[in-house]
Amino acid sequence: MPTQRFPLQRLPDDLGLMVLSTMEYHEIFAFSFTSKKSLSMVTALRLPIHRVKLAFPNEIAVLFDRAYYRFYLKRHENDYEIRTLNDLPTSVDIYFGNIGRLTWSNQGKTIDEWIHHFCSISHQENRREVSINTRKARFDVQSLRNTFPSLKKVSIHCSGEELNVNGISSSETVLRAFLPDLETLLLYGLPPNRSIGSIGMTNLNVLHVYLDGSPYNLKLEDLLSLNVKSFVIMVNEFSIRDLNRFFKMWIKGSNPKLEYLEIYGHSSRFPDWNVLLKGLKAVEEEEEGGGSDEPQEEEPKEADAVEEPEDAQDDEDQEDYEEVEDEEEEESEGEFKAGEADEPQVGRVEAVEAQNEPEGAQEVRVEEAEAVAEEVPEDVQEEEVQEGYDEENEKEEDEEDIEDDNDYEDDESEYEDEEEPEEAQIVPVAQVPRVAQGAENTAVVKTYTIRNSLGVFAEIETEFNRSAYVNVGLKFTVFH
Amino acid sequence: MSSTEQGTSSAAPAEPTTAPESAAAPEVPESFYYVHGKDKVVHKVSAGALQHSALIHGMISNLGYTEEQAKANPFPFENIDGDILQMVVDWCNQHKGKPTPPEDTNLPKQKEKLFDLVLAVNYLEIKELLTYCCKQVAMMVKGKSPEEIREIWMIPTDAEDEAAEKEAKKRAGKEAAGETAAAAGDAK
Repeated sequence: MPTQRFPLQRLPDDLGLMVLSTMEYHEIFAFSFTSKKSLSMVTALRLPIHRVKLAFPNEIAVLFDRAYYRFYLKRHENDYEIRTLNDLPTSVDIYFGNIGRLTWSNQGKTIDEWIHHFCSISHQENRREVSINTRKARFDVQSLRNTFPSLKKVSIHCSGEELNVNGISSSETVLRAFLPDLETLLLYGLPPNRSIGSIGMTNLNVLHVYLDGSPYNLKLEDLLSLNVKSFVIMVNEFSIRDLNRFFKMWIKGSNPKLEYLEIYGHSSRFPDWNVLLKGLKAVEEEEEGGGSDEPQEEEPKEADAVEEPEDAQDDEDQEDYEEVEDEEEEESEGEFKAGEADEPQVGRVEAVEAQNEPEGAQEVRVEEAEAVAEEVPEDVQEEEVQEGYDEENEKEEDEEDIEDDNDYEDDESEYEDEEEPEEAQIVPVAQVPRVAQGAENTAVVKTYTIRNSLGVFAEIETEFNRSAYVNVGLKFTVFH
Repeated sequence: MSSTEQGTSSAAPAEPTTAPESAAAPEVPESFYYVHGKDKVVHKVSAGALQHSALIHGMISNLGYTEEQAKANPFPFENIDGDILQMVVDWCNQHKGKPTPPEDTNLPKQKEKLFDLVLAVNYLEIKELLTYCCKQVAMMVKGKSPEEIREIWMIPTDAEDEAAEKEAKKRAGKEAAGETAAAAGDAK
């Protein structure tokens, strides 16, 4: 049976566009490859393309709001051996929907021309993204640079197995090529010999770093170097104490560009948000229950009382934490509190000492703490004992931090002398009761507001839950 | 459906017509109008059926024809073939007074005439039918590769487009030169 034919391009332009607008996206893409005139028609359609993403070197994804089309440019040889975008694919597999799959010829176009083709359909340059896996691809960065002269978004999957060229890693090469123009950078792993601070100090708007499985320890210097608006990091090693210092520096005026900071990761220990909030004059917002799967009422009473200084329970809770440490620690806390005596106390979260507690009440709490401590592995308890001694020094230094408003360098050098990376992130047994006994996977979310010297408000949201790991999260949102 | 037409129709049209009589409700008097295409064959169409065409509806509203005037002056559509106009009239009669369903099965099946039908429907501004015609055109290439689409929709290659463009430019240049020469001759 002969195929019916229809001279589409003899129709008026508006009718041609009307026909195209009734077609599926992959059919429109197919039509766009028939000629330059067809491509210009498709361009005129202004398809609602959300993003064109190149998974270097040979996979192009076109993302709509509710649809996703993947063009896999195949080669005879090993696809990973594609070094330049001037190669001709042998054929192109198209995947869409749940089971949609088509195979086209290469249309006489090189990989570079395929990329350009989709970019020309999508109009907006800032909606192009390149994802590079440095372990898989061996490529010529210049060829990529020529294809995307002003790329705004790049994600790099860094790998320890990547080959070095003249002592420079592939990920480093990509960073050097694109970092000056980038607005958004997603890093899965860090390039060798690179710190987060060295990347974050560039003119990026958004920086996401995912360091799951990486031993990287997020430092105060990294945070203070940030010049980005939004920074999200998944890291398993970070110091709550450093974060506290960072927020203090923010209050003093550092990182004025920062609008959003999120840090999350797994931890083998519970976070001590009192250390985080110490000296920040943070005001707790009304508790919303967070992502808790179970009613908040099921939590022990101490959980609610922790951040309510006017409540006697607050003192008790704090005491739980401190009693397990050293008694001398309490003395230093007392000094600290005395130093802050002129500060408003209502609604403010700070480390409080329960000097006026009746002895009986203290004994009960000690028993509670000990009961919980039995659940903690012995090695953790040992560390906590050691921590008690170190914490004393830390807190003394912390007081100096507060008093020393104008000299960050001193603060920093002081920090460098310290040797308490682990202790600063830990809270011993006292935090355990915050999660209801048996309430696994229950998230505890608290929100606080702080204000910097310029009157800018910011919200700190802390969260942790206990499942297989202790999942710790912190969100810092600035309201300009 | 509105009925803004003048008078009632009870007489058959003066000229023979191939259009089927629309089944008007007995208690509601209905107006009829007359259209003809390139073949001059006059089709009698009810005002209700003509509501689908924004063009004809506008003409009826603006001209204010009486029954007699309408009979004496059928709307001429010289740029539409008679058989295409017949198809359109048939469709309008079938969908008189009701909205077009999303999947219309009453569309003329002759694919070879689809191009002329699309142009006619576009000219007559029958929105629902135009949408369905466009969908029919799109269905011709459903699931096809670029090469197949190029063949089905008779899309010239880039080289052919360039050659045609050059030819058009050359022709336009010659015509311009001819006009200039003619103007110079007239001036002399």
